[in-house]
Amino acid sequence: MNNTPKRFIRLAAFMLALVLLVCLANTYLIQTDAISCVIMKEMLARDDIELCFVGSSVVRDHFNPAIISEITGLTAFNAAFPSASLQADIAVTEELFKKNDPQWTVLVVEPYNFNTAKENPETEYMLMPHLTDWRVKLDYYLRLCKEDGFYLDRLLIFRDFFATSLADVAKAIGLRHNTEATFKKVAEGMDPSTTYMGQGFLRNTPDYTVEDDVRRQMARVEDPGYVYELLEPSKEMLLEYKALCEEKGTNLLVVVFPNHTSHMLSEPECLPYSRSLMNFCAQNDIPCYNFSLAKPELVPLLDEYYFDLYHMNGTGADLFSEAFARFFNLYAAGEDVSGLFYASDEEYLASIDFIVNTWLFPAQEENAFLADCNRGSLVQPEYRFVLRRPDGTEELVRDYTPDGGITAEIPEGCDLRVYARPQGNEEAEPVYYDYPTDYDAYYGKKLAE
Amino acid sequence: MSLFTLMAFGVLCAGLYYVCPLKLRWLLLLAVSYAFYAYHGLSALPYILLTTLSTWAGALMIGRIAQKSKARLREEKATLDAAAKKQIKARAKTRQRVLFWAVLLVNFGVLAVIKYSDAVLSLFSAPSPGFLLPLGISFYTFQSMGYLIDVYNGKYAPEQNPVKFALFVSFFPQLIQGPIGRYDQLAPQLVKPHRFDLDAIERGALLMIWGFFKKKVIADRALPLVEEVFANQGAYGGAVIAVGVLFYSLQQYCDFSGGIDLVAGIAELFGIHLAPNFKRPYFSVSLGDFWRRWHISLGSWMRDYVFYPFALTRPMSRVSKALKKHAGADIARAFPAALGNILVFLLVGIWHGATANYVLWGLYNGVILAVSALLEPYYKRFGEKHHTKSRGFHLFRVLRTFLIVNIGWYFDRCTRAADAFAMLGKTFLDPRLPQLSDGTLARLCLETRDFHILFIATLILFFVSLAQERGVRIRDWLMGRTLAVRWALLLCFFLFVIATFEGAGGTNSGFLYAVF
Repeated sequence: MNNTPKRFIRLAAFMLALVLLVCLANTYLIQTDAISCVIMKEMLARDDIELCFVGSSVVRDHFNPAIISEITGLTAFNAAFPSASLQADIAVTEELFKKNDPQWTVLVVEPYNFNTAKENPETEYMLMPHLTDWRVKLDYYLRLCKEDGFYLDRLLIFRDFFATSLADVAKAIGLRHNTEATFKKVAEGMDPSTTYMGQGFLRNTPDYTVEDDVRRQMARVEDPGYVYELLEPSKEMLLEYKALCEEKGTNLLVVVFPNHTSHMLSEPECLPYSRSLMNFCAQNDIPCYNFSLAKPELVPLLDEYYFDLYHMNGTGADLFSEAFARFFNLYAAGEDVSGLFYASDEEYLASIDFIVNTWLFPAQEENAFLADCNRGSLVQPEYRFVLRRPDGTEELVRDYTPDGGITAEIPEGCDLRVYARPQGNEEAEPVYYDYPTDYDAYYGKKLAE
Repeated sequence: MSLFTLMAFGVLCAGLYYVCPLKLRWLLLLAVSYAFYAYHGLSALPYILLTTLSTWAGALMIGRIAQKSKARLREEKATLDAAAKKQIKARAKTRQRVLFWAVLLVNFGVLAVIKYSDAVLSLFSAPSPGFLLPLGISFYTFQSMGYLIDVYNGKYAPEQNPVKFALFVSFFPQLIQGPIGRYDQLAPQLVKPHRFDLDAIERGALLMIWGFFKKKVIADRALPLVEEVFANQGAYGGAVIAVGVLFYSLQQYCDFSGGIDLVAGIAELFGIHLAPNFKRPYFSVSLGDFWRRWHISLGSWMRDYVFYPFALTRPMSRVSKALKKHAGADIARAFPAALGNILVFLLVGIWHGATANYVLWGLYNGVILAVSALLEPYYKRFGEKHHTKSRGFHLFRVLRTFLIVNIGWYFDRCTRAADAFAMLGKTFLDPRLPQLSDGTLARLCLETRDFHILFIATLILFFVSLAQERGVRIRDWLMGRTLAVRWALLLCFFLFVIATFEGAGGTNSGFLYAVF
């Protein structure tokens, strides 16, 4: 037997070396999200933030702090991390409050935040390595593990988000220790349509909009009858967030991001989760506004302002930021801003007097198809079916009727196209969908995945 | 219980063990073993209690009958004639035999009813009684019956203390999938108060990590590919099926031997050395050699308690004598062994499950071993005439054995014998080689990263096994290195294991052999 103190010390030292090695791997042997890194670096370097937006990529892409600062007169900043849920929001805000005393903290949430109290693991690798306070780190880790139970996996994040090349390792080291210079290099390889503008804002202006994606992808999901109420952990975290702001003496404002109209119509959870959130906030004295229900005079939420189904492009972000700043000035001045929003979901749905998009799916019977569309609650649709040949010519199958069902044999190489418009509205620009081209473009790809 | 919980439980119990007073340590082991067992289901407790009590009482009574008979013979030595002595001995033996068979039948009967009632009743389309297989029932039944047979054969005296015997039956590391311990080797270690020895604990921990590596890095990572190939064999040609079988070889070996290493490591934390169960079986030069290196504790149990008793029975002696006259001495000598091998492997096959694929798998192994036994004299003569000690021939024998074993795995892994035949047929007659390079492999539920990890991990396993095969004791060798080298090697290995083990998001299978 050799149970000498020296042996014990050596064993302890070995264990410590192993722990250090794992910490090192968690810091450098992982992929580092450059934008998250520069946002965090900038936030921690500043002490002048007066109006801070906290949330996920919708904050990063929607709120232009330069415009908001100019209109509100407050120094704005986006503390945004992709896929961040309430756990990440709390951690980021704790870091924010270390050096900053913002007058206002705007917590931006998405209805998708509330269908689970778990956080997307991707957020952790983008955020965790950049948290500077070990207490915040520990608190964030415990909050995440409490919901998903992945204590060990979350302790070893380098396993899931490992560096795939030496360049990844060099990037991780560079971004941590020489952020500015490394980011300049990294930015050269980034999508040229995206630019980090500072203050946590990523301007994204590609030369396309989301219109075609909406047309092909946004078929309405049937309501499964689930009760879309905030989960208890989400409620607890909202209250903790409120307490955090109260302790710091900052004004808290909760904002539901301006969601795409097609999402609002096609996804059954969007409206009820937002409603549940607003009810909860009202009960707990937390000011909350749903910008998806903003009236067009405040901000029109058109397809052309989005570059994908969730994020606004630069033009949309500028427009929205101006609108938000106007709203904010009124709100901060104590004026009644409720008139800028639809008072209820029903009023909002009734206000949509057009058809957003249509689709045509095969029915069970052979050569039978069924058309449907996303539309306002008062809109009655009618459909026109044509056979569209490869050369672009069309052969009428059936002219406009309210019936979405059709039986038609589609010759090889042709599409069955459906046009939809509000009943009797000959002025309206009809929306269309091609079967099988559009169907395969999305569902074919999905099935292959 | 997950692997992590098992490891944490082992470490926690080891901590408790060393703070417990020396004399009470074996009682603590019993308490934690029963707690472990109860954690897996209170409904299983009556089974292990039945086995413990019936075996202990049966063996004790068998021992007492022998003692009494010996004492009477000693006391009345002067007055008894030879016939009377013989009668006393015979009467004692009869009583012992009745008891012995009663206990044996009760225990194997319970095991058979639980394991095979579903299969038997399904033959008559009767509803299943829905018995749940209690944790480790095969292993502790075999272990206890081994003890009973040894006591019956007078190999050692029966255990007087039922509590100590209960610990022998229930020692928790070996409950999941063995190894099947022998009483004379294991029981004294269990009740001996082991003192804290950091060196032994470090060695135990290393063995645990090595087992963890085999199970979580290799076996669990290879599992999805195996499941995909065997579940959808119709979609694949013979070449991909062969890849699936090779992965099954790897997965099964690493699952079973990794699990054994892990529990052996846990036992070593208490200063207890379990019986070895694997000795690098894929370096075997014959099928017989393979089965002496694979699941050694079951193989030796079968050898001692089935094979020899069968091969040495009077009828077999008579058959052997008759064969000597008609077929020669070599055949006469080999025949009982050949038949014994078929019987043993038929039993092992049925032990795996009462389905055609397992019976065929058992017969496949048994028949090859039987034929090998019969041809043994000719091999010897061949070996004497030709240069069979070369490295090349050794390698040929290793590869040949590997091929034979892998053909057997088709029957072991397929749930239906027809599938096994179909897959085997495809392997040789319809290989569809282009599937190896047309991206099919990439769609077998593993990503490129998984293949890379498996490749590196298998290389580590191979080189460590090769070193062990050449007589290197890896842990001793490691402990003999300088601190810097040892730390560098261990830290690299530990980091590799941490980086690559299958975690919560991946496959988390239980132990393959825990279901037997």
